[in-house]
Amino acid sequence: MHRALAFLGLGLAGAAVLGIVGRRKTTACVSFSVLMAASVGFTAFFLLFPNRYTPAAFLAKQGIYDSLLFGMSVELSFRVFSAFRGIADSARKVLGGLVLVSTSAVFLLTPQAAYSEFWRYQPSVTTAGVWCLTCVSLLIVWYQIPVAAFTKAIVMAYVPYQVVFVILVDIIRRQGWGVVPEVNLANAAAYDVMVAYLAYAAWRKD
Amino acid sequence: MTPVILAAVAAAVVVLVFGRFDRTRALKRWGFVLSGRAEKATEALRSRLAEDTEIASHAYGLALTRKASLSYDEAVRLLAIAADTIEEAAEDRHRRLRALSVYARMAEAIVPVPPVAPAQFKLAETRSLAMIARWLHELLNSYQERFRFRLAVIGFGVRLVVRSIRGSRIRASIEPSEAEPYQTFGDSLHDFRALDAEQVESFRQLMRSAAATDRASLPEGLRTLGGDEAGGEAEEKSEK
Repeated sequence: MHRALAFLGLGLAGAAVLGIVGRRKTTACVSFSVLMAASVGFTAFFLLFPNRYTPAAFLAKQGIYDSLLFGMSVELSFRVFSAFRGIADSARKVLGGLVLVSTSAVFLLTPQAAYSEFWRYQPSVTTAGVWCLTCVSLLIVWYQIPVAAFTKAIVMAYVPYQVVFVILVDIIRRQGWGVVPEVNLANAAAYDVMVAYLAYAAWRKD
Repeated sequence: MTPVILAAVAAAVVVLVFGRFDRTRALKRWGFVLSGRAEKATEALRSRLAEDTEIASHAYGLALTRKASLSYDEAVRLLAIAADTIEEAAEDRHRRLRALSVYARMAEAIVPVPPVAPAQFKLAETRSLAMIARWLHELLNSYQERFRFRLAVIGFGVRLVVRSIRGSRIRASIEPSEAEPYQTFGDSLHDFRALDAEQVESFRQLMRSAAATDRASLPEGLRTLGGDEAGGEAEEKSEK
């Protein structure tokens, strides 16, 4: 079942990437386009070579995703607010402060990244990234910036999925590693819903 | 557990706030802000606000005439009509003030605005509010903050006036022959008009500020906005 969901996710993510490129929506958020392409690449690689899906590979993949999550916030804030001179200063202050605080918290408060300790630090990292994206969206609403529909779709899809991810990691923390198969299944299902929506948004004419 | 709660709150905020964000509406707002029709739009707003207060003033004038001719029931009824008109108008004022606050965030810079002048008010509560606000106005750092604070003061003033109108209406219905409720009602009406004038002035200053926005620095989609008058008019109506 998990494998079927993974294949479905791969297909949907591939469709989303093709839509982003085909409809020339990469400029909405390059970090996100890279994230989607990376997601397709990693999923395809691990489906083809399951024995290469080691803890080290998982940590490397998650590290890239997390970096791109923060990169998305920074890039979106730059793209969205830089043209508005009156707004850019406030946006920079709010987001700069948030990224600084969250990055410091992640580096100072979380233990050394190890697969066995994954559930301990990953929720904090993801939550910090999610809050950066949330702040960008709040600033967009506050200053009434008419962002492209696809930019909105990215945030609307990615933030709820990340929350599901955080909840699932927390379930591992509470129940132990025995629940990983069920957690993986739920995560794959949530991921498929997210990429289905993104594929639709990518192919939609704005 | 904390990250889970924080992440869930973030998702709720995104879905509820960002999910309701309408790009078309935002574009309309920008079109209005960039329309640069300060004088015309200000005059339109001034006459629209005056319509409500004229109805209330007329009903109040008739109430005074009936009271003078000892028709107390009729006087109280007319006072109630005037009070209802003002209460309805107050809701409209709050909506407009909220919209002005949104527009103020969008403007690149705001021209300096003076604080609300206390001397123009007759009610003790609105005068006190304006005096405290004038003092706080000086403590604020930027013109944007001062402008938004000015809008908040006007909004609070409208609430005080409505409360005073309600009180005088009730007192008049209990003691219709007393002069005080009618006097307070008249003073409240005067203050309501003064607050309207302050709102119109805020609007005028905002339009002046928005007209100074450097279009060349805006993203491509916004540079051509605001050229047609119909767009601005439509937005004014939708904000109403």
